[in-house]
Amino acid sequence: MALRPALFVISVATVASFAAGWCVALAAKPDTSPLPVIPAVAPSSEAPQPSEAPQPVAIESAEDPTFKQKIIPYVNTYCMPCHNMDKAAGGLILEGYQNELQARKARKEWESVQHRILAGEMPPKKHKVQPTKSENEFVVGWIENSLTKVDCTGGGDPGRVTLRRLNRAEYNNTIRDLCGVDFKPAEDFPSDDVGYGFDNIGDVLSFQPVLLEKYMAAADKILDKALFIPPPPKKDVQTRRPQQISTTPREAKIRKTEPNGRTSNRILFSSEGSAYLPEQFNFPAKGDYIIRFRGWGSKVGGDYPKVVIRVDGMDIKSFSVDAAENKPQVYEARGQFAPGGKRIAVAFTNEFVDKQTKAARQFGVEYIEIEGPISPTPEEDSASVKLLLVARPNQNVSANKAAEKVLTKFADRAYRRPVKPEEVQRLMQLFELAQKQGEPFEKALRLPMKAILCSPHFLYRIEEDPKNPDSVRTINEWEFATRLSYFLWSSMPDEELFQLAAKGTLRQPGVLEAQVKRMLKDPKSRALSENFAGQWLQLRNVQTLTPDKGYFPGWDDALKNGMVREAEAYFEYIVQNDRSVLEFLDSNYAFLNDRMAKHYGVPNVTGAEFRQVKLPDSRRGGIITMASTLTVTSNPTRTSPVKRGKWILENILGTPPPPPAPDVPELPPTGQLKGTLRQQMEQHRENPSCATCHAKLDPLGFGLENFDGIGGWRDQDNKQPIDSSGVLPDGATFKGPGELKKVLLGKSDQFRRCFAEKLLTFSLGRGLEYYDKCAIDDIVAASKGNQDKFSAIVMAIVRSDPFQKRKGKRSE
Amino acid sequence: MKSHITRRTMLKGLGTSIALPWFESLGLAAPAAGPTIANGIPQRLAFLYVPNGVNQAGWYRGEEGKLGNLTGILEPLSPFKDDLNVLSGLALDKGRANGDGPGDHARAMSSFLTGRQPRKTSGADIRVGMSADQHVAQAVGDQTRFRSLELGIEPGQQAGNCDSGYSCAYSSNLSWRGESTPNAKECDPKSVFDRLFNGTDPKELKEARAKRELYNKSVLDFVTEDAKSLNKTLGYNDQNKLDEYLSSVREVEQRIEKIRQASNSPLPKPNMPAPKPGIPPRDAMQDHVRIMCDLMVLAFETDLTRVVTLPFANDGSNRNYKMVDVPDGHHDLSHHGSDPKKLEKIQKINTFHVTQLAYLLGKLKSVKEANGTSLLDNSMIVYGSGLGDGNRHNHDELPILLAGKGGGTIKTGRHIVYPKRADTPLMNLFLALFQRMGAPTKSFGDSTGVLSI
Repeated sequence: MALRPALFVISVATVASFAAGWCVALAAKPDTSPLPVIPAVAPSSEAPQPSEAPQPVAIESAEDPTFKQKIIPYVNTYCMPCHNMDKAAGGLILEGYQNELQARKARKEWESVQHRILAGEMPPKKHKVQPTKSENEFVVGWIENSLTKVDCTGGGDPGRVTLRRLNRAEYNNTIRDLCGVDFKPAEDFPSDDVGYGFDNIGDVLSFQPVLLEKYMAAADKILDKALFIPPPPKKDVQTRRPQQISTTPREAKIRKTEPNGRTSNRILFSSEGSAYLPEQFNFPAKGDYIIRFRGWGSKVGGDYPKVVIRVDGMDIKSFSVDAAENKPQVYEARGQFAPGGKRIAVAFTNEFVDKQTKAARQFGVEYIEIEGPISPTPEEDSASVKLLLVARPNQNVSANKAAEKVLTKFADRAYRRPVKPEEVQRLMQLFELAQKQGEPFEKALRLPMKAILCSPHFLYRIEEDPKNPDSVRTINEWEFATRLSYFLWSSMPDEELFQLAAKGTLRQPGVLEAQVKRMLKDPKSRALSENFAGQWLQLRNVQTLTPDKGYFPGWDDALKNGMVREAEAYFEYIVQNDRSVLEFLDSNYAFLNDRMAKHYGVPNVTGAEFRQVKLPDSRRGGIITMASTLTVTSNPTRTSPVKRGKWILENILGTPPPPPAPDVPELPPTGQLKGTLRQQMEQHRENPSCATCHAKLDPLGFGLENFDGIGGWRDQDNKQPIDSSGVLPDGATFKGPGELKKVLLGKSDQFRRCFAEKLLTFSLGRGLEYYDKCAIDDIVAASKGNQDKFSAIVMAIVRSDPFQKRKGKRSE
Repeated sequence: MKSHITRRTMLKGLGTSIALPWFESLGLAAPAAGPTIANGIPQRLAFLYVPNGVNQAGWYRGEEGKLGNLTGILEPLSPFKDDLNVLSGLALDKGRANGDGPGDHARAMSSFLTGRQPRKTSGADIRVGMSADQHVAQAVGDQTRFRSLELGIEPGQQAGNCDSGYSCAYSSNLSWRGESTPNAKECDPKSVFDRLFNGTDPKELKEARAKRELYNKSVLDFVTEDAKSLNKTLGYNDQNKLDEYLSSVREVEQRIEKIRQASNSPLPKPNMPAPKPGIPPRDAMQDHVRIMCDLMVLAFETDLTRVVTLPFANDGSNRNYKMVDVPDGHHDLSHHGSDPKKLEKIQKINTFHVTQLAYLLGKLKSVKEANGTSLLDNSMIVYGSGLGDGNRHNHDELPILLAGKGGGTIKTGRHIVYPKRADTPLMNLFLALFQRMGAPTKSFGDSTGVLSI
C-alpha cells in the first residue's frame, strides 16, 4: 500500500488541489479488508464528477488554461483545414473540442495526433503555414503528459475483463477435457463475433435463445456418449442346421428331394473332413461358451469316429463319437473366448475303410450349436465413464452417496472451483427427481449433469468483483488457474493445475514457471496455434477465400489446407521448442510437404507430411512470406500491395494506418492500365491526401510483389518485370522480400511490442487500453532480456497486473 | 379480440394515410393484440439485406407512380410487379459518420434495422440498439412458437478486423435482440430445420414427451436460480451479460410451454425433406439462399414465426460470384470508380441477389391461405442495403423494395419517391410496418414520423 499515494502525487502534477482531495480521501479510509482487495482510488466527495470515478493516471480538470490557450489555436491553424467535421480526413475530426476533459475521452485520437506530429507526417509538408519546431514539441509534450502518460511505478490500473462466455473452440476443448469425449459438439453453434481481431472477447461474446437451445442439445449428446455403458450381452443359443453348414469334402453334404417335394440336407462323412460354419461366428463378449454338435458314428476297424471341435483352427476338445445312427447324441465343449468373429468347425480325423467288407467308418452331424456367453466378464469401462463415474452404488454405498460423489467431482471440474454444498444439494434434487421417474443410476445422473453443462457457472468464466467498483482485486488461485489454461490451452485447467490452486501455491516463483513450461510443451498447447495464430495470422480467413482459378490455376483445396498447416506447424515449432519470436520475422527454414514445396519451388520434398526444410534462399522463411499471409491479403483476381502493407503495419509493426477516406477509387482490374500493378498504383497516387499513408503502406507491399495472389513466386506481372524495391518513410531501402525482412528485423522493438499486444489481448479477452502500456513495457523488456524466447513472453504476460488482477469497473 | 377486428376492418375501408394517426392511437390503447386481420390471417414480416450498395444506374429509374417495366437489376421481379413497391429516396442517417470517421459498412448493416448510431468500438461496450424485427418480435412474438428467426448465409468473419475500428459484430449481424446483444444468425439450413420441427415428432409417446419436458423445465429452473444468485455478486458489465443469459432462458422456457400446450392439437409438419447438415459451400450460394427462403416460407406457412431476418452476406463482404461470371471480390468491385466494367459486374451481383428475392416472392405467392389470399398478400418483405452506392459510401438514396400487400393494407405496383432533400429516415417505413404488425410505437431509432406507403 505504501506505493499508492506516490502514484497520485505523480499523476496529479498539474492539478494539485484535486490531488490533495484524493490523498485525504485515501488516507482517511483505512484498509481493513483481509482480502487481497486493494482500493486503488476511493471516490471522494471532493471529486469533481462523482459519477466518473477518478483514475490513477487521468487528471480531472474542468478548467485547464493550457488547452484553450495553446492547443486549440494550434489545432485550428494547422489541423482544421482537413480534420474538420465535413472533411474528416483520415477519419480524424479535431473540431469541437472545448476542454481537456473532452480530449481525454478521445485519448486514442489524440495519441494518433501525437504520433503523426512526432513522425513528421503531420501537418503535411505541402501546407504553406507550418508550425515551428517548438510549437510541435509543445503539443506533443502536452499530449504525452496530460492525456496519455501512464505512471508505471505503482500498481497501475489492471483493467477489467467482462464475463467471458466459452467460445466455440473453448467449449469443444473443455468438453473434451471435462467429459473425455472428443467430437467437437460446438461445430454447429453460430459463429462467435470477433472484436480486436479475436473471438474470445468478453464484451463481444453474446448469448441468445438459439445458443441456449444448442447448449441443451449438445449436453444431451455429450452425456449420451460420455456415459455410454454397453449393456451386458445376453446369453444366446445359435443353432446351425445342415443347410447352414458347409463341408469339405463337399460330397459330405448330401441334398435329397423328399417324397413330399421338399429338399433335405444331411451331412455324412465317409472320409476325413470337416463341417464348418461358412461365415465367422461372432462372439459378442468375453466369456464362457458351449460349442456342441449332435451326431453319430459307426464303429469300423475297432474304433468309433474321432471328432474334434475347432475354433480358428485350434482344437478345443476331441470326442469318440459312439452314438448309433438311430440314437444320435450331443457332444459338447466349454471354453472361454474373447469377443470377435471366429471360425468354428467340427472335424472328422480318423477315416478308415475295412479292406474286407469295404465298409467305411462314418460320422454324421445333425447340427452345430453355440451357446453363450454363459458368465460374461464385464467389459472394461470407457475412459469417459472412468473419468465421470468416480463412484457407483454397491452394498456399502447408497445410490445417493455415490451420486453425490460423482456430482461433486463433476461440478468442481466444470465450474473450475470447489462446488458449494448448497449447489450439490440442488444437483441432488435433480438426481432424485430423475430417480423418481424410474431412471437407473447412470441415467438419473444425466439430469443434474446436463444442468451443470447449461449453468452459467460452466458456460461463463466467472471472476468475482471487488466490492468497491473502483478498487482492484487480485484474482484467486482458481480464477488464475482458469486464466492460465484458457490462455495456453483454450480449455479448462487439468488436475495438476487444480491441485496447485487448491494448495494455493500456483503463483509461487518456480512453480508458475514450471507450470507454464509444462503447459507449452503439452500437446494441448496446439490450441494456441489454432486460436491465437489462427486469428493473428488470419489463417481462419483462408478457409473462406475464393481466389479465381482462371487467374491462379494452382489454387485448390490441397494448397488451401497446406498453407494453413504450414503456418500452424511453424507456430507450433516456435512454441514447443521455445524459440525466439523474432523467427516469426525471418528464418532459414520452413515447414513444408510436397504440395507446398512445389508451390514454393523448393526441391526434394516428397510425401504429404509436413517437416522442417532448410530453405535454399532468403525469399521465404518467416510468416510474412508464407502463402497463407500472401493469399489472405490478396483480392480474388490480383495481389493487393496495399492490403499486404496494411497487414504488416497491423500485425508486425503494430502501427495500423488510418482507414482510407471514402470515395477514393480503387484500381481497375489488370489489363486496363498500362504497366505493372506498381506503375498503375503510382499513377493513381496523385491525390496528395492519400500520399502520406500510402508512402508507408505501398513500399511494404511492393517488396512482396514477387509473390502472386496465392503466394507463388513470379518474376513478371502483366508481362513486365517486377520491381520489388522500396523506400520506407524513415529512409530504409530494400530490394526484394529477403531484404524487406531484414529491414523489418531491424524494427524488432516494434515487432516485440506488437506481438506482446496481440498475445496480451488474446490472453485477457479484452481490448487493450492506454493504461496497459506498463504491462506491455514489462513484457517487451522481458522478451529482450531472454533472447525473445516464446516462454519468456508468456511468463511476463501471466505475471503482469492485467493478468493477475481485476478492477471493479472499467476506466474511461 | 372483437374491437381489434373492427379496427382492422375499418382500416381497410379508409385511405391508409388518413387513417394512420387514428389507427396508431387506437393501437397504443389496445392491448398487445396479434397482427390478425378480419379473417384471422396473421401478418408476416421479413427483412432481407444485401451488402455494399447497388449499381445505382441499374436500379429502378422510372417516374413516381405506377411501376413501369422492370429492367436492369429488377428485371427478375417482373412477374411480381403488382406485388411490390419500389421506395426511392429513403436515408439511413445513422449509417453516416456523424463524427465517427470511416466504417460505413459496419454502420450500414448495424443501423439498417436499428436506426441508431453504433458505438465505435472494436469490442468494449458494443452498443447500437434493438432492431426493428425484434421490436415486432417483442410485441407479437408470444403468439408463435418462435418470436423470430435469424437466418444467414455468410458466417461472421473469424479473425482480423472487419471495418475501421468497429467490432465484427456490427458488420455480421442484422438483428439485435438488445442494444448490446446481436442475434446470432443461423447459416446451417439443417440446424434451422431441426430447430423449427424439433420436439414435434408425432410418434413420440406421450409419456416420453412429458418426461422430456419435465427434465428440460427442471434444468431451466436450476440454471435460472444459478444466474439469479450470481447476478447479485457481479459488476455492471457482467450483469448485462447475465441478463442476456436470463432472457434467453425465459424465452426457451416459454417455447417449451407453448409446445406443451400445442401437444394436443395437430402439429405443423414440414412439407420438405430435412436439408443436408452443414453450411453449403460458397459456390452453392443460390441453393443456400433458396433453401433458407424455403425454410422462411415454411415457418410462415405453419405460423411458427411471423418475423424473419435474412442477410445475404456480411456488409463489406469480399466474396466473389463465380456463378454469374464475377470472379472478383464484391467489396473490391464496389469501389468501382465509375469503371463501366466494374459497374457491369456489380450489376450482375445485384441481379443475382434480386433473382433470389424473386424466388422467395414466387414461393410466398404460391402458398394459399385459408381465405384464398396468398401468403405474399399477408406479408411485408423489406429488401435493401444500408449503402446507396458502394463507391460513394452514401447512406441515402438507398435501394429499398417492399413486397407483399400487408393483408391488403398496402397498395402495390407503385414507385414511391421520397424527396432526397427530405432525407426521410428508413425508420419511418418501419413505423408504418409496425402498425400493420400490431406493434405500433411513436418512434423508433431516428424516425420522424410514420411513412405513408
